[in-house]
Amino acid sequence: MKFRKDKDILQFMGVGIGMILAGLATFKYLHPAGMGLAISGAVLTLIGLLFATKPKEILLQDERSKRINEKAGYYGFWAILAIITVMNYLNITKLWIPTFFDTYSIIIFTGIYCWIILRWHFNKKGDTE
Amino acid sequence: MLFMSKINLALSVFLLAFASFWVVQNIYEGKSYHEPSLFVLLGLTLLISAYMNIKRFKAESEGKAIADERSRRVGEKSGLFAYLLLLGSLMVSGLANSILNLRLEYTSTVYVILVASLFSWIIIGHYLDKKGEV
Repeated sequence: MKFRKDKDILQFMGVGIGMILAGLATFKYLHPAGMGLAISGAVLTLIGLLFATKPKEILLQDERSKRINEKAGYYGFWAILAIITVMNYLNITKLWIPTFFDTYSIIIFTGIYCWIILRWHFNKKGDTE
Repeated sequence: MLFMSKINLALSVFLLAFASFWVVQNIYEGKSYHEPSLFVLLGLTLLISAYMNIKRFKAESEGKAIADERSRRVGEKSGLFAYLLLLGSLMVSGLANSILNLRLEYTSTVYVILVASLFSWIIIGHYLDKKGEV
């Protein structure tokens, strides 16, 4: 099996290995949550190894899927800003006082799911060039 | 359409003046000013959109195109980068909060992230526009 050793793969693997080291150091000296970082670093390294065996052309996106990603990210960004604005208004009027973790989880899950659903929608809609 | 936008502009100025007066009156009387502040925000939004519409219609009547395909593409691309930055900064702040026990509050983080992501959207859009490869 032949592995690619170009700059992209080395950068990707470097980030993965760096995350493993940072996660293990955090786990040993700071907090048990560092194990999550180490596990995600290990997953990244494995993905890097998997893609190192494939040719570079397999990872290149065509213009249409690039455009769909950008458009979905743009609308996801505005959806997150709208949610933050609504939460701010609820917080100011004292109708609902969110904690940090309420905000954190609502924004992250809404942002990620909004992006995924919008990508699916723009892909199905089909007028994105 | 230009005439309608001018009427919108006049109405939004009137709404803004009325809502500002209401806010000042409530502050003076020691009442809550959060409800009228919503009308101030609404008036500001209407004012800005009416002003932008007037500029757009005037430019279009002179034969200039403002939002062509390239500028739309720049906005979308910078929106994607700002979205990823926003999610990344939220994830880092959440992780730092749980690992280092910072006891972050809602207001101390979300306002900073909101302002940072809006400015990063504007700055990245300007950079991509200047770079010229979009």
